[in-house]
Amino acid sequence: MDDKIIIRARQRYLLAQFKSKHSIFDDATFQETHAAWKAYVIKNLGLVPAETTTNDFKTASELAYKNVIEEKSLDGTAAPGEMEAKIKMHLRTAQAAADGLEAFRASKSTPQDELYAKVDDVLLSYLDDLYGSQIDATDHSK
Amino acid sequence: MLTAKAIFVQLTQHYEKLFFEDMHALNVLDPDEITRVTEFVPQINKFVEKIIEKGFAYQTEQGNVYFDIDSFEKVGNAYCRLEPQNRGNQELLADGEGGLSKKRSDKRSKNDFALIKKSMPGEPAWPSKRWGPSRPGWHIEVFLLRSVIPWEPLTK
Repeated sequence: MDDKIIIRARQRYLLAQFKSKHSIFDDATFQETHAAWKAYVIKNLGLVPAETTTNDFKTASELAYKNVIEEKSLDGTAAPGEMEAKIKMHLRTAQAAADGLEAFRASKSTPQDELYAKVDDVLLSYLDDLYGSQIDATDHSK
Repeated sequence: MLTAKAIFVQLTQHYEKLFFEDMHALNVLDPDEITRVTEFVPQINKFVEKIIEKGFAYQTEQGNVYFDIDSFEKVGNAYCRLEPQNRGNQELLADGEGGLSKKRSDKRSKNDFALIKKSMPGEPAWPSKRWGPSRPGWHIEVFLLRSVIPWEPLTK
């Protein structure tokens, strides 16, 4: 059984649970999503300074990962490989979430579907890291 | 609360449905038989016991069972988990072993792979007298399905 399936299933379940608990994207939802964004950046984009905010993430991440953005290897000496492709994916995910959080800050009436579409991916791994091991996974009776 | 089974079945059924929609769109006929690994866990456990008896797998103190590539190759077999040019590539090997196995470090050789994984909290588990709550690793299931279902040979 592939771990990828297990992780994905848990993440989707926990995200659906989170969304039904936060059916209105309010300040509390913002706080928790912001924590998820922060955790995502620390976990996957370690070169971005810890004090970076959603507002200055674009500038900070472009500086930290300049080589990758310019289609080079991380250290700038070679062609990009799989690692760089993953970093780019993380940059896109973190940027989308930062944009979503900024949109909420700018207008609390931003449609929540629009917000969730931007922050879904950072919430997935955050919620699984926090709650994944609490799911009772032993029931396989038919 | 949903049972864990429902969580995992929801995901697999969702993608199974999408897969067959694509296949139908491509005019690919449905298979004669559909098998799911979750229906064969007891058989897989028995099969792994046989591999241990033959000396090609070992159980660790942490409760995982690994395929022993060294002992398998010592008697004249070859086992390549990766394409020849990637032999020994640790990053690819770790990727194959799965994201929930990163913290495990109980293998005799880095190249060995899990046949049975002890299930941690939040991971689907099946009962086993020998290994306790556990699940098959994902390299083992194809061998087993291949050996319990009477198929036509792939090449004639």
